Amino acid sequence: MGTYVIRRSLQAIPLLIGISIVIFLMLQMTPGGPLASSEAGGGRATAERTERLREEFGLDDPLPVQYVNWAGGIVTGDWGTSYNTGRPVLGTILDRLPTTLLLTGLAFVIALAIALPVGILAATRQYSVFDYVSSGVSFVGVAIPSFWFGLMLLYLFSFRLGWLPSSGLEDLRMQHVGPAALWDRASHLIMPVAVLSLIATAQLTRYVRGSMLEVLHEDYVRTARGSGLPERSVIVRHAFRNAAIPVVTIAVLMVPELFLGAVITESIFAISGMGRLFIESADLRDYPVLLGILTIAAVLVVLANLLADLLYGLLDPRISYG
Amino acid sequence: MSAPLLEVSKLAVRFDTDEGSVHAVNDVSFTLEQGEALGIVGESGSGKSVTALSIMGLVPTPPGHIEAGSIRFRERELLGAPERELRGIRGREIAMIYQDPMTSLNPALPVGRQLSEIVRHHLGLDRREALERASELLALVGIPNAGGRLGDHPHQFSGGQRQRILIAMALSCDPAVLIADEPTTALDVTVQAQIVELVKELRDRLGMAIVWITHDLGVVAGLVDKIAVMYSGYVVEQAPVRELFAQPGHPYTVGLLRSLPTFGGERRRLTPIPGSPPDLSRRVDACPFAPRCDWVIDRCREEFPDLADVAPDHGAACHRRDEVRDASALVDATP
Amino acid sequence: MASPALGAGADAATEIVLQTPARSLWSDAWRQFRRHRLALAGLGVLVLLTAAVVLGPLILGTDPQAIDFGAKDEGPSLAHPAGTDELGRDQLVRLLVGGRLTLAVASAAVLVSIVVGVLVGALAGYAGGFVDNALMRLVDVFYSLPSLFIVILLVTLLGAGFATIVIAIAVFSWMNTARLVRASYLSLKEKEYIEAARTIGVGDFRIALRHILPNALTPVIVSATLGIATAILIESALSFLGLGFQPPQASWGAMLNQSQTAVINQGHWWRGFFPGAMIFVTVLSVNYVGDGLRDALDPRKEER
Repeated sequence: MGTYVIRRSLQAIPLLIGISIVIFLMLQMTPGGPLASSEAGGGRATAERTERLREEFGLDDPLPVQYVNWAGGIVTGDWGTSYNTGRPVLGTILDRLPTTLLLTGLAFVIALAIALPVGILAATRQYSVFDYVSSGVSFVGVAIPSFWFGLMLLYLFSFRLGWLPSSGLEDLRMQHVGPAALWDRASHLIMPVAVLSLIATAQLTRYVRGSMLEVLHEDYVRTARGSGLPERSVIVRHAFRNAAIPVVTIAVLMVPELFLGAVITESIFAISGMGRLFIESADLRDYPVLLGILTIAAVLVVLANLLADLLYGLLDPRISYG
Repeated sequence: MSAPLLEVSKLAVRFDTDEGSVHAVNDVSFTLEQGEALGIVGESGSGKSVTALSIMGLVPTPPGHIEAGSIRFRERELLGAPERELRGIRGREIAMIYQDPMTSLNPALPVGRQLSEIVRHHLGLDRREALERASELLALVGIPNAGGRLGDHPHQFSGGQRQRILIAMALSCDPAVLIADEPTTALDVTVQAQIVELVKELRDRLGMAIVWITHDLGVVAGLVDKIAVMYSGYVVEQAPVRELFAQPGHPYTVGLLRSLPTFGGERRRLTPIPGSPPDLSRRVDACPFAPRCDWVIDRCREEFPDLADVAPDHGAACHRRDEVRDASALVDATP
Repeated sequence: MASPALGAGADAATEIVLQTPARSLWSDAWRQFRRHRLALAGLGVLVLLTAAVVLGPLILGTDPQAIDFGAKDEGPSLAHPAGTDELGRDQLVRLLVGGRLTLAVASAAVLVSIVVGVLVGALAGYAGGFVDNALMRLVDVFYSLPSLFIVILLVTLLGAGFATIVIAIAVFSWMNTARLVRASYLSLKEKEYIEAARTIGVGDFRIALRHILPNALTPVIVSATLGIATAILIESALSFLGLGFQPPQASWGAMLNQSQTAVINQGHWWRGFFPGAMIFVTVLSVNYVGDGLRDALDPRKEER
């Protein structure tokens, strides 16, 4: 088991390097290279100023050198400075990161909280009304565009009913303490989290149901039943214990997807998270910030994959006691 | 005379599939006394496994339906009994081992756990006692270093060992009946013999009744007291083992015996039974074996033969049962 | 001690076996598909939708750009079944025209991703060894890239034209096809009929083309169908963020984007409801069809 962990972890490193190269190269792809738009579109920059900026940011060095400089900086904690604000990239990102993490985390928890019971119940009561309805709903659920869902929710709960606020994370006029403040925070989070978790919940429910169904037909479940064990034991200790293995890995892999999907949610609800920052920076061609965000996203994806693999190895005794 | 330990009467089970209904078990009856060993023999699709599952109440009831019949254990009716009652009997008084040991154990739990949870549930033992018992059971079925292996997972054992573990699980609560559904089919021949030996030993020691299901007549010859031969969901012949081997009364049994290899005696060709198993989705008013039978006459295609006695305790479902039995007495078909 | 003539028994048995008629793979697949009522319904909806999107505007005769301040901000009515916007433009015809864009982009993106995927997968599968390894590492890298972000990036940096959007989406959809094709190649490469063809002297390329490719295509077809749904959602998301098609071009996602203020602040729900509903219905139908195809084309289920 130990060697398995080490092996998989080491495999992640070349992957990260490969990804960073691809990301880096992609950003060079703009016609005219970085800073092009500040020259062209009637930006405030003069040819002189651009030349100075180019020197300052080392943009005239050969690409491999630029890459190594950048990559080295990332590893040591120097993520560069924003073209736009002049502030350190890392700081800018860290300002916005907690918000996105909050949304992502809540959405993940909600998705699990709904998908697990519904999926298991649907599988154990296959062919029942509950099964048909929940399967139908989750199938339909993955087809709903999250932004449409968000927009309709906003129409209903904000405009029509006035129950929930339409944007931001808090009412700035509020004090920051007390139950009123708690409700304020919560009411601002309800719709964004609902929108973000929609597709994840639907997908996860289908996976849980599918995995449970497969396992419920396995011979060892029949053995457990044949030994007269109570049904709850059979379902939890025998069926789910095995069905959970692929489900856990899928769930872990959903986290980066949620993280990326937050872009849309932040856009609809005007929340200042990393997704919004990314779009703004893309618009402003603020390369250091873009690279920084992409790096975080890529690291997240690779880590999630690694974690999924490790968890799988941990949960499946055939690997951990191999 | 007291009632038999287990009594199956006129059992009929039907499966509803997309392509129509399959009548897996039709009008099957047999009894089992305390400590008796019954062999149920038939090819795939003959309904023997479904019969066993019906006794345990493990037939999945969306596609399956118990159409008719009764199954009485210690004079209690099992069919239609509440699930709680059945759960009390399963694993405790009637236990079952299955065909494929490789998939019949939970891969995620250590075997000690799987053994102990059964005795903890049925016998109320606490954790320490249960583990001790698990250790005893493993030793009983011949797993070396039993105590040390309680923490191992199924994949760390061989096929034969896994089947032994399943036997241990089945016998953990000292059941009155052990149902073995082709437990050796998936194992190789040497291991097969070991398992049969093990079951014989355990039976001598613990005295439980056995229902041994197989497609191979040779395997049960030395193990059981009486045999029921099944074909196409029906019991076509039933007799004490010696009688069946010496003087079978049904052409199918004759065919089965002929297709067994023999050791010693004159060399002869193995004669397979021509044709393929019947389509269980069609029920006909004729003998189900007629299409493949060497002895077939017109009556066979028009009238269904009952399982009538051709000798004491020996029933055969064939219109020409007496002729077949007489003829077979002249044939040397004993293994 | 020979048994009596086999005669009657054997004949009857052979008769039963011969009674099942032979069927080709495709007609069998169609039969299977037909049994899947939802998939059939989905197919019907898609056909209707395509027809509406292509022919609708012509039949309606309304100009999507026609400004009519007299009819501005009206809810759904007989004259304007999908309502109008702040410029009085009829939303129904805009929906249909926008649909053309959305469907065109999705189809093109899937096509491109399949071509790339097949090429990469076939190359990896047939060449094996180092080439195979390198290409699969590339697939892994692409899988790990934060797709939505990079799509946003590409579209922002390269400008939001039809081609850019198509390529941006395709860049993240080809990997699945590549893996499927490679897997098919690997498993079929060693099959006996390939050996047989080879011994007769059929060249390697012809083998690849006529024997392996058709079998490899089946999972790809399913994947492609579901890929269309994903492509529609990505393009819509992009346009919704304001990064996709710019006015006057308006795909469904763009219409949603433009409707935000109207819906949230003015309560003109029809501006957001209909474009989103179109996306939803299309994606749902495609999913049903894909599901039906998967059941129909899965060789393992042929015995059912």
